[in-house]
Amino acid sequence: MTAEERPPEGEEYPLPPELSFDWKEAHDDIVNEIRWHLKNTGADKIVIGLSGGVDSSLSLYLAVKSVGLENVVAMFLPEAGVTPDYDEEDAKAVADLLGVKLIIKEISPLVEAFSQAISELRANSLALANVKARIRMILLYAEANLIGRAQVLGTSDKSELLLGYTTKYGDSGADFMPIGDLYKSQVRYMASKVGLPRRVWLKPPSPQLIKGKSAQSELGLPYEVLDRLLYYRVDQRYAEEKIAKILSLPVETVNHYSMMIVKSDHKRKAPPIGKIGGATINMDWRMPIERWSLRKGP
Amino acid sequence: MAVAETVRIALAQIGPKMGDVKGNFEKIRAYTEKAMAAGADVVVFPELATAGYLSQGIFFDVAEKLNSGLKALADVANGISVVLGLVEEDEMGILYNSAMILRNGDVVKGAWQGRKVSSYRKLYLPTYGMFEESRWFTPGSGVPVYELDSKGGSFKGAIVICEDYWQPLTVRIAALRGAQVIFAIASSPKTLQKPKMTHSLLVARAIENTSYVVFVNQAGSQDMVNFWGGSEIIDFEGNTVVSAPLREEALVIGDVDLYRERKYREINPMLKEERAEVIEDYESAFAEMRRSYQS
Repeated sequence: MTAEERPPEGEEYPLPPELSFDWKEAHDDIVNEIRWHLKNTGADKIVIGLSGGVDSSLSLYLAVKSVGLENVVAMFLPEAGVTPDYDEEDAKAVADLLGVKLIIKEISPLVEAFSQAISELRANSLALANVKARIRMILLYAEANLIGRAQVLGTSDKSELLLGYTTKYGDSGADFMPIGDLYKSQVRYMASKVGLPRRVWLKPPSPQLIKGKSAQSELGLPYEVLDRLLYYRVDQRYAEEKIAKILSLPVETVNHYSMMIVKSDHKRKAPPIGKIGGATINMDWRMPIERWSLRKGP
Repeated sequence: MAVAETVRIALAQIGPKMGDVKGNFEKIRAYTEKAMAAGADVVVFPELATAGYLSQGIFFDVAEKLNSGLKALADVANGISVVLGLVEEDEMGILYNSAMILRNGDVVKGAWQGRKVSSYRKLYLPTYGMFEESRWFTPGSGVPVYELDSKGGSFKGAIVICEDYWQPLTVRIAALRGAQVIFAIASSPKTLQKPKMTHSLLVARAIENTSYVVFVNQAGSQDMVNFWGGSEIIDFEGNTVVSAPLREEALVIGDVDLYRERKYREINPMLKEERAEVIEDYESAFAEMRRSYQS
């Protein structure tokens, strides 16, 4: 990290008081979870998409802390004309800072191939945006298969997951999500505390799927407000009316985001299976992921 | 047998793998041997140490495999009592979240309401939030007390399992039955608040019952959930005697001074203070609450 990249001593992302937390403790918790998850699933490497944004930068930092440089593959997957130059600069800066080799692969030819195969995509920016996110997922999983014994680390945070601000089987298509229980503000705060470049945790979040669209322009409120709203609704189970009063928002606004949580339930779950018998998967047949049933008892 | 004055206790803070009964037993055996080498009278393992905690559907598989492993472990446990959390399956195929004590090739029997029992079955099965224990297990119905040998003589101990110590009565019952040491074993999933809250609760249980509390928690992580370790021995004044690190597997040894505890109980008669009228009123209040739930 060069001198001008390093945040001034003690500078940190301003966290709303409701969301204050012991970031060191949470940091160590996540590192431990990643380590054991790999050990318990028989994997030893992590593949991660690095966008230059705060979620993937912090996730990469935590992955490296957990399993070491040599076991982490970071991929920057830009789209010409859409991904801003500063994201590429930031992704490179974070990779350099952590000492991780960055694989850079343009997705533009693949996006173009899809647009040629399905010409209607050109006129439907949402459908095309989802295709882009899924192309990135395919590239990450291809890399994981190629290097072997690797898992794809999903970088979604709790705010995005709750609002459904993800592409199903795109950015949310992953093997595990270490920072999925931290709100965006908390991610930015932790990123500021672990010494990631200031411009990474200060820059306005954006999925960069559609040129020039920021998260705030699509979601309607800044994350500082959304995170508090989500915290009161989900962590504290407060009613919408109460939250509206606390945050000085119209109740209709709170209801709107509350409904976004409801409508995106399907994105957070495995697809429901039509029940026929008495041992339906995930309903009756409930199994953990990190299981060792093949190792028989003494 | 003489009455023990000091007992050496090993806290075996292990991180079992879900369903890896063979590997978990190997680890339990290795920790037991280490505890023996350190001169421990008792080695305490966490809740569900043979199975892992979030094991869901594999609880059925691990329960039926248990007997031979238990016998082999009991054979290893020469001159040491192994307090072990496990999945117990009875003759009717019912599963319990249980604990047993193994020593000198055998299962140590506990005393409960005039009977001899071979296991302690968890009384409170948390079934809320991330917990689904009632789906897999059936609750037990009381707190047995074990007469345990040590190098310096015998002493009385009792076991409670995780959610049990979030309710005050279990430890109180154990203390009324004469337990001097409470083995509070757990598979406590970590949240940012949990270690502090648990410590506070256990300190309260130790002080209010003028008893040593030996807390042993799982370490490691299962399905991206940390089990936070932090095992410790707390004395009857709420002081930590020894403690294990957060999250990591560890074997920590500490002594409990039962002579000092006995003397302390003479001066601080919290147990003698317990009154039948208060317990009756408790029952009455509980019945009223239940009626209000039903109406």
